[in-house]
Amino acid sequence: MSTLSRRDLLVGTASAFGAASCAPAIPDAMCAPYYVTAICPAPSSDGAAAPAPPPGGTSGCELFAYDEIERASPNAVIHPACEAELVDFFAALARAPGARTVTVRGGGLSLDSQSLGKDIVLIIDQKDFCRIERPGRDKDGFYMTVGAGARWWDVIAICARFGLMPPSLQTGGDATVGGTLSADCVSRMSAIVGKEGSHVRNFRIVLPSGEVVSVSRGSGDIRQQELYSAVIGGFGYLGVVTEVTFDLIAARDNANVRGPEPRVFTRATRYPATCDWDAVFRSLQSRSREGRLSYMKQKASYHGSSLGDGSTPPVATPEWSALSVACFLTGYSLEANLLEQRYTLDPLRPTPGGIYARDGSINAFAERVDSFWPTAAELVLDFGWPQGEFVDDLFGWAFFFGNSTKRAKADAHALGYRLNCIQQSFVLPSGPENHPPDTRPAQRFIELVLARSHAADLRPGPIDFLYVGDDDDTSVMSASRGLPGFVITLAFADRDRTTLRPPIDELLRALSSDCRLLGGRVHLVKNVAADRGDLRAMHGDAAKRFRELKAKYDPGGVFRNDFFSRVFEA
Amino acid sequence: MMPNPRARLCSLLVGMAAFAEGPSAIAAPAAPAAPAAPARPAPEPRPIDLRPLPLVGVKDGIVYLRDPLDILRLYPQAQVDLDAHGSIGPHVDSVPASEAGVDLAPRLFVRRARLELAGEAFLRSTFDVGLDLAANPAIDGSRVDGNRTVVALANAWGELEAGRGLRLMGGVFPAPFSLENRTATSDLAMMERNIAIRGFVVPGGPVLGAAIGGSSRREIVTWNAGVFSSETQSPGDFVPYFDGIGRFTWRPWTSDDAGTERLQIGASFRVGSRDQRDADDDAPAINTGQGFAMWRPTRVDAFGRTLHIIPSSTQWAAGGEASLLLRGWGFRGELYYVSRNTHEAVDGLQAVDVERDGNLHGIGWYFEASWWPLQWFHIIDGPPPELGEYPQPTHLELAKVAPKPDLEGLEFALLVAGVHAQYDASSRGGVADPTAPPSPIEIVQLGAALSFWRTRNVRITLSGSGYWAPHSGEPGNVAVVPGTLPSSMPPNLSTPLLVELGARTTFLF
Repeated sequence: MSTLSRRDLLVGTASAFGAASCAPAIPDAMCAPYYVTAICPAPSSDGAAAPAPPPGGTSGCELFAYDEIERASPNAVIHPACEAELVDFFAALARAPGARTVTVRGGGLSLDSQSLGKDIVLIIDQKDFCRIERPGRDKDGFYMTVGAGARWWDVIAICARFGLMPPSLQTGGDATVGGTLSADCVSRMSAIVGKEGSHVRNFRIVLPSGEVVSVSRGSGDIRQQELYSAVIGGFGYLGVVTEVTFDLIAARDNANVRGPEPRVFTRATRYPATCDWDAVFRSLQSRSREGRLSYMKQKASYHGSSLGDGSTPPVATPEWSALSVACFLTGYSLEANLLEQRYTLDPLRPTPGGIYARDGSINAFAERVDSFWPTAAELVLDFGWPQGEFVDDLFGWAFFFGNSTKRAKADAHALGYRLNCIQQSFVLPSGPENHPPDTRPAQRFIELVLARSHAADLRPGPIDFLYVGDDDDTSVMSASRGLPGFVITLAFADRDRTTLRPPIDELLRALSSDCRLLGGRVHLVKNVAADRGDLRAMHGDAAKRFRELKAKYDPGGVFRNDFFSRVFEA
Repeated sequence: MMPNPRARLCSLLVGMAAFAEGPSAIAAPAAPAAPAAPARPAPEPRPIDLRPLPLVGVKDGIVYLRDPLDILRLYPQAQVDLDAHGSIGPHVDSVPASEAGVDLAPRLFVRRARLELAGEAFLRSTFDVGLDLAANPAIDGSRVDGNRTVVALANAWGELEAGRGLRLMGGVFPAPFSLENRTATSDLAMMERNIAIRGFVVPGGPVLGAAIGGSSRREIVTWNAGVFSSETQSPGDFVPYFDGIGRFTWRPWTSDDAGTERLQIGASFRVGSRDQRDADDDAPAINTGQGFAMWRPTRVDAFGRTLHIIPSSTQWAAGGEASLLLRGWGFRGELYYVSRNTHEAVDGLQAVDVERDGNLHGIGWYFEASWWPLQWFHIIDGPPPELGEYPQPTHLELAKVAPKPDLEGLEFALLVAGVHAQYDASSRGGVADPTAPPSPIEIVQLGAALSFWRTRNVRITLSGSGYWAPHSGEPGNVAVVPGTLPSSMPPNLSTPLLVELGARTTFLF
């Protein structure tokens, strides 16, 4: 860590900071001990202690990606207190000597190096960015406005009380709203409601010029359109998002009235290893389309309702809220669980095996053991996720990955090692949305996953399939933009790695190449191990457009992160 | 980008001038190279074929038949070993096959013809059924009966997989004991297993039982243990017993994730008991690689009666293994202590008679080094065969991926093995026989082999082993060679040696 450069920065920006209009005054440049969430003022809703720093040199300003492989030692880590301070910061930065670069970081749950940078890292976690407003309703339906640093766990803790949920929700409770907007996350709900970005009504962003822009969905203003399409899924490459307003959907009758939190009903249908994958994918796609129609009907029922008159017009609830296929290796192939899920108020009837338990202890054990004995994790999934119908706790279901991984990492740290969680997603084309799907690319991709894994003697952890259409997908860097298809995610666990284990790296690169040759794209949100030529072929056009927008809104190239630096070099 | 050919030629000429005329020849700068040709863009890769995978075909050297959903896959396989055997040593020309237990004369024969049907069911379980035509059962068993040809079950097992880390195997398969015993003969550097393992430590053939096995990720740790109810002492001839057998390995060091270079250590154990009601077969003989019995479980007592040495009550063995695999080199060794309680019974009365209770105990060990010169000189990349992992379920991935380098190359191997045991006929009870005091069994094997591997399917091997039984024919060693057999007159006590030479061509599909 360079003390001198940090001092330079502070001296150069001191006067501007002094004039900041919000209180408290900007904190001194400080080092995050490890997770950003560990220093977020909002405590965990479940009261869990912040995870201890992983062993192996995490003191100082060393920041880790969520895979605990990628790391960076920035010159300074700054936690701005409010939007006005950010404005002043950029003004000061413009006057500071030398070219400085800024990386934006939220909850630190990016698996790859999307939130890591070498110079200044801005962590959006202070109180002013963590505010959460009460859900509201207008002619466009239900909505909620929160600070970009608000954690999704805390957001759900508020909106679920009103029987409202975000249409699409990724599985990390510690992820921040600004962070997942910047990643345009895909979720289990995306098969029905699309990706997270399509539910963002508007957001506020501080550009490197210091200008604060409010960007609205569907605005006729070209500038807003450009920023809307590039900031969502843009990993903080154009500015710092400070506030987000997003849609909500009704998760129970009598929505928007304080009442019981919804639970989640799951119908799990098991397909054996020798299943007809064509039928599985067709079923996934057709159910996704049906779910989407139901969702559109629900959305339409919100519109036009007036606020403030005391009336509560009837609101439709979608038949299903989430649809995915969760697979796990058994013997030499995959068994698949088609998971149809919706919100309910039925009594709890938890999924056996504690998959959706709020404490995530069984999953956490499986995740840790997976790095040494993958079969244990496979058995947990096999026996703990049976066919049937179950009702689970909302927070246990919604954040099942984050809950278990957080615990698994904490346990691993306590035992003296770092737990590496590696995930990479691939979008395989399925043809135009309104036609019967072409499942051959996805099927062939699965065959290649199995063949390459077998050849490399690797056992991926859970392998998930989603269907994602391209309705409302306007993000420039979206892997599924104009490419309706099946999103296939592979997960691996490892320990104490400083780089991806070579066989895993080779496997993911080979699969990225396969994905390209099957007409698909690598998803940029999670880990990305892909050769440059493949990235260029898959994302070259989008990158070109993104660069144009970057040149327009960040001409000085202030915003950088290690991930895009690496990917864009392709 | 390829270097410009003219520039390369120019550099070559300058280099040659320097060599011929000294450094002054290159003082002048070389003529400027012609501008490099513009780099051609990499050709667009071909899209992946989306047609369904074939139902019948050959992939990775395996013939397969399958149904579209892979409910059942069949992999028919065959192996033929064409052998030439010959022996050198005192009296090998004069000892008849009936006395030696095996024909010591030079001969060509089909050592093994195996038909096998492996397969997968529901992509979760695998099976393997194989029939052997064995032309010299003494090699595959522990009886003195190398002069017949039998057709016998070689493998008959099914396996249920819960992933690589846990699997249940049941049926007839090699006991999970010792690295050498868990290696297919076709993968060994020598033509047959060495005398320490096959002759003394694990003298029988496949066992019948069930085992739970598995491994951690990258096989850092593997385990395999089970219970077994019978063992073949000769192909197809099952002897009932009840044994617990297990083997565990650990790789404390690997050079990479594939484990191409690694250190592995392991331990094996077996413990069981023999009941006179069930066990009236002779104890295992100690046979050479070509089937000559150097120690036989029969003897003639002071009354001239033929006595059979029969396993009785507790039997156990335990020991360890270590192997070091480096690029082009392989070193491995094993050492086991074996204890077999016995009793002696008069010929014809084995089921009821107990003359005295004794014990056979001792150690069997070996060390083997093998060298793969083509790999060592980085000429080819083919990996050596995986040792200690037999039987492995056959699984085929049908999607086309870059094939791994096949097994190819030359292999030189040197082996030294030993059996240092003692048979005490009455150590546990009964009237001692003055003609049978506690008797050492001392055997040392020195071997060498040269193999040419042309893919995994074809292999040619030349092999030679010398079996030395010091003091054979004297009270100091009851192990025999042809020159010290009681029927060899006069016995040759000065050269207690048997040299076996062999050649084998293996076709394996």
